[in-house]
This record gives sequence, C-alpha cells and structure tokens, in this order.
Amino acid sequence: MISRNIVRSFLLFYLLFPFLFLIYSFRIDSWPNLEELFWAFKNSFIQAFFSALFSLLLGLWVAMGLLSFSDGFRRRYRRIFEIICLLPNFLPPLFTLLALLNVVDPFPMGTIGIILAHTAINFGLVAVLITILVESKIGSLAELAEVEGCSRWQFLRYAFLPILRRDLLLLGLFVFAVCFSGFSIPLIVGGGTGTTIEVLIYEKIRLSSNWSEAVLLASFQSLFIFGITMVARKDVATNANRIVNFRFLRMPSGIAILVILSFLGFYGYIQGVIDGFKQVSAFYEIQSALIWNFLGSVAVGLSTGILSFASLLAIAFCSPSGWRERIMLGYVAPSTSLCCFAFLMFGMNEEFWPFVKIPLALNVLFLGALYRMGWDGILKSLASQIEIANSFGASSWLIFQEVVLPQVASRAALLSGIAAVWACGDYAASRILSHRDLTLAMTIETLMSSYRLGLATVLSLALVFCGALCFFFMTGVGRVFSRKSI
Amino acid sequence: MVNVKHFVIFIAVIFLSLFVAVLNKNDDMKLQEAKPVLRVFGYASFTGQWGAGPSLKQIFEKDCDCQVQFIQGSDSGILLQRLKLEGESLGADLVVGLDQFDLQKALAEQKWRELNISDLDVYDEVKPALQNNYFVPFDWGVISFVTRKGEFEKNPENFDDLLSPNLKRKIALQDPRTSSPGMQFLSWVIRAKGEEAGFKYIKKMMEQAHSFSPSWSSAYGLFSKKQAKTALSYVTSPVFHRVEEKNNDYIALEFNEGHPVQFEFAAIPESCRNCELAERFINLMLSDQGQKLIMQKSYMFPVVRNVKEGTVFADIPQFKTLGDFEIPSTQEVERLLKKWSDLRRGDSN
Repeated sequence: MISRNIVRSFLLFYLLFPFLFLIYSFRIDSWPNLEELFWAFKNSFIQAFFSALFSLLLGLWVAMGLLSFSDGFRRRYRRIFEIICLLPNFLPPLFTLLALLNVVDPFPMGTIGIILAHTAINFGLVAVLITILVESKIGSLAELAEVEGCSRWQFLRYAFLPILRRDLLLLGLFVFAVCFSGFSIPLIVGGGTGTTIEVLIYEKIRLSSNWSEAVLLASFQSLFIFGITMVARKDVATNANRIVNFRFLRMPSGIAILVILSFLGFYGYIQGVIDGFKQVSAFYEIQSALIWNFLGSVAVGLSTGILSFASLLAIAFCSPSGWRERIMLGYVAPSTSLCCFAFLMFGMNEEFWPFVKIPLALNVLFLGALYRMGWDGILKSLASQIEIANSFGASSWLIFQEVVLPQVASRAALLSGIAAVWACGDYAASRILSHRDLTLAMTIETLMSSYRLGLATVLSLALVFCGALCFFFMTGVGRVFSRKSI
Repeated sequence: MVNVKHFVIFIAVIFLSLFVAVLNKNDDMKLQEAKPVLRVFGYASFTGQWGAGPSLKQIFEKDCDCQVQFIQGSDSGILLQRLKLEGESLGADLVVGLDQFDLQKALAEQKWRELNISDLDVYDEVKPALQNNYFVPFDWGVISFVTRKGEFEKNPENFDDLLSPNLKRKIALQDPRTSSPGMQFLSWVIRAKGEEAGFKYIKKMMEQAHSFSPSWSSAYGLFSKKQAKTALSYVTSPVFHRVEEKNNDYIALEFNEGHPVQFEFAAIPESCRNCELAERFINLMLSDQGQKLIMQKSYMFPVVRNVKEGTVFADIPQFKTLGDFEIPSTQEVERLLKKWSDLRRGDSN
C-alpha cells in the first residue's frame, strides 16, 4: 500500500519544484532595487486588498440571491445563475476587460482599473463559494432560527457573521492571493502606473533577462502570501449536503444585481460576437485546425482537471498532515512566466511533452488557490472521523477509501472543474510551453494579434462551450466517485 | 453497482483516445525519418494559421524534399529568451521576427551565421537596414497613428496636436517595455524632439493616453472597440479593414515630424542543423512570391522592389519617414526604458 509519507514528500517536491529548479539554474548575483520593489509591492497590495474586499462584499450580496434558488423547483435554475457567475473565469481577460469597458467609460487605467477588473472577474466565483459555505455550515441553523422567530438582521448579526467570519476571511485571503499574484489583468490594465510584482517579474525577464532578480522577486511574493496566510487561522468546518429551506436568507436583489451587471457587461461582448459573425466565413479555410484546437483545449482542460482532482485527493489522503497543511494554505507558485520557464527548461519540449507540461504547470499554478477555496475546510471537518477510524486500527488507505473519498469527491470535482475552466482559457502558460497553437485560447490570441478581434470574439464562444464541457465532465466524475466505492 | 475502477478505466480510455488523436493530428509530429526538417522559430502572427508562415511552408516543401516545422514564441522578447535558455536543444535553424531594437541583444546573446544579402534589390527605405551581415529584413512598416474618419474635425498633423484636450484619455498606446511599437513611439518622440524635450512631451502624453497596453493587439483591440479615438499602429493597418472587412473608414494620420520605420528580420543561428535549408527558406521569403505572401498575410510592406506594385499596398500614401536607421545598443534601450518607467511611476505618485 502506498505510504502516506511518500505521497506527502512527492506533493511537497512537486509544488516546490519550480522554486528549486529556478534557484539551481540561475545564480543569484543581483538584488532588486528596493525602491522599485516597494513601489510594485505597494501596487500589488493595494489592488489585491481592495479587489478582495469588493469581491467579498458583492459576492456576499449575490450569494444571498443564489440562496433564493436553493430548494424545490427553483434549484433547477440555480445552475444557470452559477454559470453566469463563473462566466468571467471562462474567458480570456481581454474579453472581460472589453465587456467592462462598455460599462465603465472612461475606464480608469492603473490601480483603480485593476481593482474594477479583478472584482468583476472574482465576485461571481466568491458568490458561488459563499453559497456552498452557507449551505454546508449554517443551513440547519438558519431553519432553526426562522422557526424560533429570529429576525433576518439578528440572524446575520449573531449567527451568520460570527460563525462564518473566519471562513469569509479565508475566502477574502483566497481572492487577495489570486489578485496579488495575478498577471494578465495588471499587465493589460496597469499601463505602467499600476505595475505589480508579477508584472515587474515579467519585465525583468523580458527586458533585461535578469533571471536572478526575477527569481528573488517571485520568492518574495510567495513568501509574503505564505506569511499572511500563516497569520490567518482556520476554523473547523462542517460538511453537510442536506437541502435546506433558505427563505430566511433569501435576497432576490442579489440575483437582480447579478443579472444587471452581467447584462451590462456581456452586452458589449454579444455585440462583438454579432459583428464577428459577419466575417465567420473566414473560418472555413481553417476549420480543420479549429476542430483540433477545440480538442486540444478539451485535452488541456481535462488533463488539468484530472490532475487537480488527483492532487486534491492526494492531499486528502495525506490529511491530517500538520505543518504540511499550513504550507498548502500559504502556497503560491512562482509567477506564471517563471513557473512555465522552469518546466520549459526541464527535459524535452517536443512531440507530446507540451500536453504533459502544460497541465503540470497549470496544476502547480492553480493548486494553492483551489486549496484555499474551501478544500482545507472540508478536510478539517473530517478530522474527527479520521481520528475515530484510526483508533479502531483502520489503515490509512481504508480510511481514505471508505471515509474520506465518498465525502470529498464531489467537492474535489467541483474545484478541479474550476481548474479545468481556467486551463481552457489559458494562453500565457501554453504559449511558453508549446511550439504551436494547440488550444482555442492560443488561436484566439493569435487572431487578436493579426487584427481579427471580431473572429476572436466569435471563437471565444467555442471556448466557453469547451470550458463548460470540461466543468460538467469533472463534476460528473465527482458524482460517480462520491456514490461508488473502490 | 458499477465499480469505480471500471469508471476510472472508462475515463482513462476516453482521455487517452483524445490525447492520441490530438497528437496524431499534427503532421509536423509525424516527421518522416528520411526527410530533413527545417525548424523555423517565429512569433505567433507569422507561424499561426493566419500568418504567412503556413503558406510559405507549403510552397517550400514542394521543392525542398524536406519538412518545415514551426516553433512558436509569443513575441520577439520571448523568442530571444527561449533561444538563450533552450539553446541548441531548441534546434532552431531559422529565427523570424526580430526587430531593430532586438538586434544588439540578439548579437550579444547568440552567434549567428553571416548572410550574403548585398545583391537584394530593395526599396530605398529598406537599404539602411541591410547594413549588417547577420540579419536580413523581410518586411517593414511605417509607424503611424490610425483613426476612423469623422473622429476629428481636423486630423492631428503633428505630435503637439495629440495634446489637444479633446484627446484626453483617448489615445491607445503601447507600453514600450513590452511592445515593439511602444518602443518605436518612444524612440520616435526622442528622435523628433530630442531627449529632454521628448521626455517632457511623453509626460504630457501620459495624460492623453487611454492606456499603455502590453501589446499592439491589446491597444488596437481597444481602438477597434471604439474605446479610443486613435491608436499607434501601422500605415498599412487601414488596408486590412479595406480588404477583409470592406470598410473604408480607417485612415492613417501623417505627421510633419516624419515617421519611424519598423523592420522585421530573419536570421540563422550558428547552431543551425539544416543551415542550407534555412538559407533557401530565407531566399523564398525574399522572392517575389514570398514577399507578396508576407505582404498580404501580415499587412506589412515588402522589402523587395516592385512587389507591391499593382496591389492595394501601392495605393497607400507615402509618408515622410525619419530616414536614418539606427540599431540602438542594449544599454541605450534599457536606459531609455528606465527613464520612461521612472516617469510613469512618478506620474502615479
């Protein structure tokens, strides 16, 4: 039987590989300019802090709206609203940005613009996660409070916020970490005034080939996120799947705000799609390539999804693992470009290797974020069950198989579905690690760099479809794993 | 009850089939052992489906008894990084898409084969770019601001016109640190106004800029979506809209200061494996047929004389160019960029 220590060591090595390889490959012979570092750090911190704050506030409101669809016939429609919430995560950042530019005109480039864009991208995801959190932690309590005659305000003040405070803080921290180490949006919207550490790293590599400073900056960024995560303490979570009547917490205005924001945002996108359809005949000559690009996207999306699923289950297998859990909670991969260059320099890059390396790199980049999206909480909620099974002398494999897996599989699948969606929309990592346009996202980027924004917008519809396909495939996998036994 | 093991096998089979199908798709992967392979390393808009690369490959493979394989990099900066990091293992026989600001860096970081390009019959504007023995220009573009008809009552005619209050936050520019046209604009202003006055002007332009996008495509996308009234692009940009969208509304603005010229170069690394094939591919790129293809696919001017005649490219008005061609040193480029960054940072504080 596989030893838990071997799995733990392998996971640790896999996550630290980019750092170890970069430090081994590049001699650290120069230090970043402190003034420059402070300036980039300030920009990173401010934009990440406010992005997290606004995402949390807006996400909370929308989550109350989603809870209006938590029982009876309404539950069927909830999936549609959840997809609308997750849609900004499906599309390449430029599309989200163009959609946003239709609403906010003139758009404030710089730090304020980065905050706006990050909030627009993340609030939906936060809303979906808060909904899951509320359902699993305080669903029954909400019912009880309603029966006991508690007012909504009293419940929010004396139960909702005190119980979920730490979880919301952790969720905020998750958004903070994602935004702090975000690359595409600060690069596009920052425009020189909002340069973040991540953008500075890219500039160090691209402009002056200064790998030494780039590696140091990436290490500083990861250590900072790690440090603040150490400060945050995690509460013990519960995991319940019972459908609860949430009349008490319903706030239809949350759905209204979601629909209004989505309509305003996607109106421009839909217009772009309609304009792009006028040139759609241009796709005729490359239809075969597009079909293969679609399959390439599915392959990359599913590989990343399955790899994330396996990694999350491996973490669950190793749980509880003390200090390693703290590492996971604070883990942030080195910047996108550095991480990808580490994989690029290691071993072969020909033939099928890009299909191996891209999911591996994306998994390293996503895993920390997935862990902070509630995986740690669900594992903690199982700690007492594991302890009891241990005391009865059950082996770690048996405990995983019979206790842990059935309870965590669907959540692991949900998280890896999100990773699959992110992977479908990725072109930055794929561009570094592959020798040609393998995926739809890469082709979209190529189209945009040859004047064809309209066609790129049309093609992004296929990307959304591809992302949805991977997402539903992964959630299906979770359903099977949670129902069956090995 | 269905056993999960069966389900896992089912997923594995689907997944592997997909994997194998995607791998088998690529003809480039199934390189025939007997045929030599020419590996061309270039940026996406050259090697991608819409670029000139695939058509050139088709023509070249008809006669060369070889196979052409493209290796794609995102832009010239990343091309050079990959070339440096992966070195011989990348196996690039030919590198396509460096511009004049990359040349010194490319020379410092790599060894290149000498090319004999002295007998090329090129346009006068291109002659200065032939002054080195390693890099051969294969297309060129005149940098200019592009706008839609009717955006201005009176079109801007010089740099100072761009400082008009009507254009506040309405000019889509590129970040010179990450974009070649962005660097061209910085260099353009400094050459036209001198360094001190140039940076004073750039400081004022920071108020006018809608954004400093990381790439030409992002800036042009913002302009296309009417977020900006004008964008820094190429004199040839309106031709794309005329030819592919049947839209005559786009025009390039001519400035009194004269316009900078951007060249794109090809070069053969010293470490090439199929060096002779690489030279033949360059010859194809510089042939009338190759030049026509590059012009039509990349919407850039051909370097070889008489190629554009009789095409829509011949109708493009001839803008006054800056004339002199310089290959700035890496230190000089870094110094200017640092000054730009400091200015931009100061702007934010």
